[in-house]
Amino acid sequence: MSGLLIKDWKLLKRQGRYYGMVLILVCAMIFVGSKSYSSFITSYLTFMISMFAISSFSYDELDNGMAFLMALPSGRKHYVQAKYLFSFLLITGGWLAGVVIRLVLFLMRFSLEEYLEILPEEPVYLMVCLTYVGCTIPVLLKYGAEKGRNIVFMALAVIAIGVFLTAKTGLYFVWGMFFRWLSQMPPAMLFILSGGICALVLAASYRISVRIIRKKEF
Amino acid sequence: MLITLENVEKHYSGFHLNCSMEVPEGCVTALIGPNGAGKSTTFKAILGLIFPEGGKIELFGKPLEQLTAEDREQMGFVLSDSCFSGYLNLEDLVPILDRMYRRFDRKDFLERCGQFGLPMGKKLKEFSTGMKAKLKVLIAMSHGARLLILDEPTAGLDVLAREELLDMLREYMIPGDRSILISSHISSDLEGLCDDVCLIDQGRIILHEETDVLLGEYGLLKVTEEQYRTLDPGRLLRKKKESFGYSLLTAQKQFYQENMPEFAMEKGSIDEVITMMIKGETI
Repeated sequence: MSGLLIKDWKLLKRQGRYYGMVLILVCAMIFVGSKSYSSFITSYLTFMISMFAISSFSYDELDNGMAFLMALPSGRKHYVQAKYLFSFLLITGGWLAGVVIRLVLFLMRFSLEEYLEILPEEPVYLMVCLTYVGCTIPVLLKYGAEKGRNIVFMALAVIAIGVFLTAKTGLYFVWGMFFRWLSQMPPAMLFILSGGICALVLAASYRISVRIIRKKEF
Repeated sequence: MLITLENVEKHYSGFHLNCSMEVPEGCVTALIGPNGAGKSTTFKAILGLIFPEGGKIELFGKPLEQLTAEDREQMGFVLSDSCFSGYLNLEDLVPILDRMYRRFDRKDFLERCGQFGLPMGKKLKEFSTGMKAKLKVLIAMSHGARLLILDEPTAGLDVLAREELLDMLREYMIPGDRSILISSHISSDLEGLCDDVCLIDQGRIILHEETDVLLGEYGLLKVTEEQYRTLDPGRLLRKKKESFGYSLLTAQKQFYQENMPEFAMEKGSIDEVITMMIKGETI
């Protein structure tokens, strides 16, 4: 499995210039960003890194490469394991980088006390991105990188339209109650809840992905 | 046997594979046939990339589904249309292969890459067709596998590179306990390398013969219609109508040379046998 992890890492390094530019952009925000705008640092960086984890499937599929990877001794299950581990390590690493950059921003321009106030929101970005990638990987394995990505975007669009429509109709109070309930929740409870949902999604996603890859022909 | 296929079946729209063949230890076996005959499907079935609907596949005497990662390390393979991502380069591949195969010979791999003029820092997608073909074979041979499964390994190579690669494969067979299953459209490659030949057409093996027998005992008789009527059909495999009469494929060349020296006889080649077995009429 480590061979597959190295492969993904090498592919990431090939895209280093693009991600380096993203990092420079984020660092630039340290000097111009307002306090509320600073959440962009962690959320955007984590999201961008999540996008790479997803795009690594496209690199694998290039020139029918999946057939080659599946015939390697590591096999199908280890391919899935490597993808989940790589995604988890990468996204967590990107998120940590975002957290550190945001902390530096606060230490330079604001104060540590102000940073501690916004600290509980930080893990939520990680959980959201991990959950998003967890939902996406089985779709990519089932339908292929390009078609799978379109399906995920369509699903997200449907959810967004659904939320918008329900908010515009008589059901808006349901969302109001939901967000009030979230905002009143103690940070520790919010962390446990989002972490629990994320862990459940990832565990279910992994099982589904293994089942998909075992049945898939190349 | 290093490979055993017993009535391996796979259906696609307009195609049905029903293949039985064996690759013994110490042998180079060629799988030949026209485009769409089922060569790549057979290779994919052996590598576990597709799931047959019937029959049995065994590698190293074990059912395919029971192979461990260690068993799979004993196999090297080339797929005609697939390799590592084109965004990687050779420098990237070395640590990947090193972790993938415990017996990966880094020094030998790098030496051979240099010998074939493969650039270390260039992305694989920028490699020429010939460079890619060389790299795929070098990867397959990089870890001392007992079994090589090579689908069109010489495609895109010039004559010199092909000869160099075929020499490497001959050298690879020296230990004696290794086997190769190979397909190629270039029959001269196979004639000089393979111990036996399996001809596949429409998903079925229609001929299995030792290469020496095929080249030594198969021949093409060129006869007029009158001459044809005097021949014993039991000694003939296929016939094909020609302007002068018939071309006839026989596996008893010597018989005709000794008893009917007046008949024109051409030496059998793999290409001739493929053409006659597939295009010719059964007698």
